[in-house]
Amino acid sequence: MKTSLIVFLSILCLFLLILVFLVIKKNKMSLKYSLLWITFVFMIFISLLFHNQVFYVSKFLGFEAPSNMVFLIGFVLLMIITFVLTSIISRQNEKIVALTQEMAILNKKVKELDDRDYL
Amino acid sequence: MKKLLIIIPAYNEEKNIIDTVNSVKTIESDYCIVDYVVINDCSKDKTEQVCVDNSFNYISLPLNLGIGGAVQTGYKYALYNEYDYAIQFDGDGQHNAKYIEPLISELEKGVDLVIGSRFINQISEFKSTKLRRFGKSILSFLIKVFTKKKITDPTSGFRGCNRKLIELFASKYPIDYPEPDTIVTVLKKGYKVIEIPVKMNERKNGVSSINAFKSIYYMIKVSLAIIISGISTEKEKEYED
Repeated sequence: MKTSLIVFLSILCLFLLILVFLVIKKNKMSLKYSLLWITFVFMIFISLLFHNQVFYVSKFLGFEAPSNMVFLIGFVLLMIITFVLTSIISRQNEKIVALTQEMAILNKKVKELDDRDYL
Repeated sequence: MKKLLIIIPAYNEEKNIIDTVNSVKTIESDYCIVDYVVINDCSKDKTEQVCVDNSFNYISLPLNLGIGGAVQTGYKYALYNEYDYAIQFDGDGQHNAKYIEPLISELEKGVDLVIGSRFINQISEFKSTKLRRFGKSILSFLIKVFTKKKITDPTSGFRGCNRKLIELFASKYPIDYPEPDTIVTVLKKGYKVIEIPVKMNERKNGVSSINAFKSIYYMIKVSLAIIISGISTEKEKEYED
C-alpha cells in the first residue's frame, strides 16, 4: 500500500472522528449512537495500520483482491447499522403514538376540569 | 348498571359526524348506560370545530395517528374511565346505529368480540367490487388457516368487545388496518368471537381509506400481519363453549 494513500485515509478517519465529536458536543447525536461511528472509524484506522495483515487474511479467505473483502465488510456493517436504525425508528414511533394518545386524553380531562371551574 | 362506550374514529368527517353522533346518542339499552366518544384524528377540515359547536364528547389527537392509533385512543379512554364494553363505530356514516343493540346483547351473553358482518346471511346489499371481495376472501382464508374459524367480514370496523379485550387493545393495537390482525390475535389467545349480520350504508361523503393504488400494498401488509400474529400469538385461556 502506498504511503500517500495511507496518509490520505488516515486524514479521512481523523476528519470523521472530529465530525462525530462536534456533533456530540452540539447535542445532535446521543453518546449511545456515536459509539457505533467511533468504532467504525477505529476499525478503518486499525486496518490501515495493519494493512499487511489485512492483505494476508483476504488472501487466506480466498478473495480475489483485498479491496473486495474490505468492501464486503463495509457493506455488511452498513446493513447492520441500517437494520438497527429501522428497529429504533419503529420503537420510537410506538412511543410517539402512546404519548400522543395519553396527551389527547389528558387534554380532554384538563378542558373538562377548566369548564367545571368557570361554572 | 354496566357502562358501554361507543368509540367513533373520525378523520375529515365534518359532513358526516353530526348525523353519526346523533344516531348514536339516541341509543338506549336495558343492559347498560351508553356513552360515546369521538376521536378526531387530527382532521384537516372542521371536524373539531363541529364537535365543539355541538358540544359532542370528543378527544382531539394532536398528531394524525391513522385509524388504529385513533381507535386505540378510544380503548385507552374506555379503560381509564372503567367501561365494561366498547363498540367501534365509524364516523363516516357507513355503519347503522340500529345494529348496536344486537351487538350489546351478544356481549351480554358473554361473547368477547362481536363483529358486524356485511356478508353473513347476505342481508346487506352492500355493493363491493369483485377485486375487493376477492381480497376479503383471501383474508378470510388466511384467518381460517391460522385460527380454524370462518370470519366472513374480516375488515369490518363495526365491532364490540368486553372489558378483557378493552385491556388488551389498550395495551397493544396495530397502527394501520388493524381489524384482520386483531381478529387473529384474539382468536389465537382463545377468546370467543362471533359475527352478526348487519347492513352497511354506502359512504355518503368522503373517500374510503383504502384506494385502488394502495390495495395491493394493503393486502401484502395485512396478510403479513395475519401470518405473524397467527404464528406468534400464545394461547391465554381455554375456549369454553
